[in-house]
Amino acid sequence: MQLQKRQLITAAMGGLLALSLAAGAHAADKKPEMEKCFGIAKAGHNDCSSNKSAHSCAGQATKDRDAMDFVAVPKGTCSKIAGGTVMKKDM
Amino acid sequence: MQPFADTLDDFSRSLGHSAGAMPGASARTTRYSLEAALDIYRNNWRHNLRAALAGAYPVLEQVVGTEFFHHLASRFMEAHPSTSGNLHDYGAALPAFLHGFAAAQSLPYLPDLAALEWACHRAYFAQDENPLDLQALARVPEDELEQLAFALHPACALLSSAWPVAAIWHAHQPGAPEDFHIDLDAGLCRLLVGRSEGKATLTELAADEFLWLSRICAGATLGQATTQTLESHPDFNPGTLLPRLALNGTFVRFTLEYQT
Amino acid sequence: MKPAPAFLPCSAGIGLRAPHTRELLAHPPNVDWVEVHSENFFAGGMPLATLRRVRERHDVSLHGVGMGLASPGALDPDHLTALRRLCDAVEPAAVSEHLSWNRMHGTVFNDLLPFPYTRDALRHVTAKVQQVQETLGRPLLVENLSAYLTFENSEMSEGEFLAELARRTGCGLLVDLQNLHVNAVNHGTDALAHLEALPAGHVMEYHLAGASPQEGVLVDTHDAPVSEATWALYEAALERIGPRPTLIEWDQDLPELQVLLAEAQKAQQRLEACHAALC
Repeated sequence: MQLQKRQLITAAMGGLLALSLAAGAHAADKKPEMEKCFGIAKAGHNDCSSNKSAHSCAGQATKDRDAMDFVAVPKGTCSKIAGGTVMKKDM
Repeated sequence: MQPFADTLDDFSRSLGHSAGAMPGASARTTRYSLEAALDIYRNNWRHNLRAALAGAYPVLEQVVGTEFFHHLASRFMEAHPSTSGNLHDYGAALPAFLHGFAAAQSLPYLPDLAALEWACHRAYFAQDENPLDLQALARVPEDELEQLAFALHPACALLSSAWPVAAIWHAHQPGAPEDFHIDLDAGLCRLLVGRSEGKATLTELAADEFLWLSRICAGATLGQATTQTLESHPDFNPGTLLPRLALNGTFVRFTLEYQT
Repeated sequence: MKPAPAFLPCSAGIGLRAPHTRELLAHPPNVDWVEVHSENFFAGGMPLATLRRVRERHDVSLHGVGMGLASPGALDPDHLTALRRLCDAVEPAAVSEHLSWNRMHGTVFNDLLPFPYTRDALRHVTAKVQQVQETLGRPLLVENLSAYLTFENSEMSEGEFLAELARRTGCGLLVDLQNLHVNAVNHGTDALAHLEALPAGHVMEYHLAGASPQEGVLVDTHDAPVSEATWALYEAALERIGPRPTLIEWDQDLPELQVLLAEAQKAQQRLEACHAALC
């Protein structure tokens, strides 16, 4: 296994260096990471969305009602996520 | 404590109560009740924390629905008050909290899904790093390659779950078809979370790849990680994975670790 | 990035929120400077990369909402370090915080909470402002608060407190005219007396915002155009204190970017109409 390990690592590193030479030629074409995502997307759905700017110095107009225990049943898209053996009905 | 701090102590305790009693001893209002004023502060506080949670856990909110998420967030913030002035730090304990959250026990995959979302949240805010110095790497002598150790980009995290959390995550991204069905019995899910073009990315890994990268992530050298992986996966070959991770920004630094 | 200026240009800027960033970068509007909430950029990554893009064309003001200058005990060292790193990364034209507290016994209330304006509080906040200024190597601007309650044990007004804080620390003052209006409505405090109490030489920036009327209490919601009452206070400030960089803040129910820019234009016209010495 020692020999096998050495051969695998040498081959993998050789592959990397060959690829990096090829990739180097294209590096100049590569746009910076930020080009595609400036912070707007469907709110609440995406890493780029405005919901990642949580900070504000404003007060809240909407009164926060505390959801009571009678709504304590998940009612989202979870109905589309199910499996035969895992959804224990007795839980 | 300084006298003004005593006043703030009263104030903070009155914020922690949902209603009634314990307004700060010297707090005053003239045009509305003190309770109304305290309610504004309680409301702002709760709203800000819930907005922070919704920002970090957008898929979870969709999966359980807004009302349930609201309930979950309320219970969570009672158990885990914020400890940072930076709201993006808030919510790290939600995956663990979900494990013990009775109302969510019918959805056993929620803690792992939440752990995945927190990893994506951290990936989004992770520091930038310079890419791996491939020229320096090319100068490492061939007989020392086994001593190479790689540091992963701070955006990267490894997660495994008994549930298909990657499929669930993908099904809730913008533009994904709304009509989907996910089979929870689809099997184990092993993931590398990273960042590309500002978004969190998920890469599913095979069992041997996951084991190998976990070892690298824990500081093992290429030699150590490969040996350990070969012990349980004799057909393992890092020939594709290693170049990919080195070129896509997962590996950001290397060191040579010589055993003494 | 543009070279770091000594301070904000004496013109009207806008609060830049994430949903407007793409448009601002794609079609840079004729606005010299923008203000962002510091904490949204603390960790780096995409938000910071984007902000550095913004800095290529606009001066940036960093407006903190999480430092809690008046919190009892020590400032959070991590928070302060993160702010310093952010300053190094974006070379802001101004850095501001609120005259508020948010931390007690390790719990953080992520809001801007008021405190009694006492002499011991003044000593405490003075030390914190000095610490921030020493860490950042620059003057801090401190903003007056909209508060929904007051404290009977206050020994001075907020304006007197800020004036003395500025004298002791050399800090700048950010005068939020909307907050003065909110306090006038909710507590009957005298906004003009507040302006009179401030040392004009320390006032470095104005904030303008709007709020939706509520029942009983005026909540500072930053979700509406600047009200007539706040415009009137702004004009009074321009006359008594002088023209200063002026920000339009809008945080919730964000309108189109053009609406914000139109509000900024209204402030710009008032600035230009003001014949006092340039700021």
